Amino acid sequence: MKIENLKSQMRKGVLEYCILNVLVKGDAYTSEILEELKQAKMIVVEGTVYPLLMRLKNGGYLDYRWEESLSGPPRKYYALTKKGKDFLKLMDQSWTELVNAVNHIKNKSL
Amino acid sequence: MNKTIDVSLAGLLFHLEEASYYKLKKYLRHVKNSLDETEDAEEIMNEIEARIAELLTKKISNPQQVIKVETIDEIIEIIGKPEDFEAEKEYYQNKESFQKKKLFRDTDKIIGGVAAGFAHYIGLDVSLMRILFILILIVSHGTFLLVYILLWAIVPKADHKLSQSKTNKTEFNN
Repeated sequence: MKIENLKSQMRKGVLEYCILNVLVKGDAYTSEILEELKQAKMIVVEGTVYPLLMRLKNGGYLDYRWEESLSGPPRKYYALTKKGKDFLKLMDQSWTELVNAVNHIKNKSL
Repeated sequence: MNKTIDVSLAGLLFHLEEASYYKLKKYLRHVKNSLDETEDAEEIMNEIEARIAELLTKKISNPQQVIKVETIDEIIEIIGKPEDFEAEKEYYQNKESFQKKKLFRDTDKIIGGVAAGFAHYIGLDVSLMRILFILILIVSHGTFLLVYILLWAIVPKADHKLSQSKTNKTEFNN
C-alpha cells in the first residue's frame, strides 16, 4: 500500500467537508476558496476542487451569484444554501465521531 | 519577430505568443478530455477558464502585454494537470470505469458461464442464478435450453473471472 494513495483517499473524503467549512464562515468566490484550501495544504493543485464545487452546487448545497471585479473577470461567489448548512451539521457530527473513534483506538491501552 | 494570437477567456482579451496559445489550447483540451461527459464538464471548463483569466490578469502589468510560454507553464502548475487532480481520480480520467456494465459469460463456470455471467450482471449470487436457470428450464419444458445455447453463442466470453473484474471494483467504489 502506498502512502500517497492512502493520503489522497483520506483527503478526498474530507475535501467537500472543508469546502463547506470555508463557506460557512461567509460567502467566497472560487479563488478565495482555492486559496484557503491551499494555505491549509488540503490541496496541491486547484483542478481538484472544481468538480467538487460543481457537484455541491448542482446538488443544491451551494448557490452562486456573479459580482463584477475591478481587476479581472467577474467573480462567481458561492454561498451555502439551507440544505448545505444542514448537510454540514451532519458532517460535523460524523467528523467528530470519526476523530473520537480514531483517538479511542489509538489511546486505548492493552 | 513573433506572431501573437488574441484569445478571449471568460470575456477578457489576452495577447498570447503563438507557442503560448498552442500550449494553453493543448492543456485545455487535455483537461476537457479527462472529464467524463457529465453535465458538469462544461461548467468545470468555464470555471477553469475564468480562473486562468484571473491568474493571467494578475501576472501581466498591462492588458497589452504579450503572454509568454513560461507564464502559461506557471498557470498549468497552479491548476495542475488532470493526472494530478488527486482527489477526483475516478471523476477525471479512468474512463474505463465509466463504461457501462456489459454482459459476459464467466470463465468461472459449470456449462457455458451464462448463468454466472447473468448473476454477475444483476449482482445476484451465482448458485441462486443456477437454480433459477434450472427452474426456468423445467417450467419452459426444455425450450429454455435453446435460449441458453443461443446466449452461449451470442454473449461474449469474459477474458478473466468476473468476480475480479473492473465492474466489480467500480461498484465497490460507489
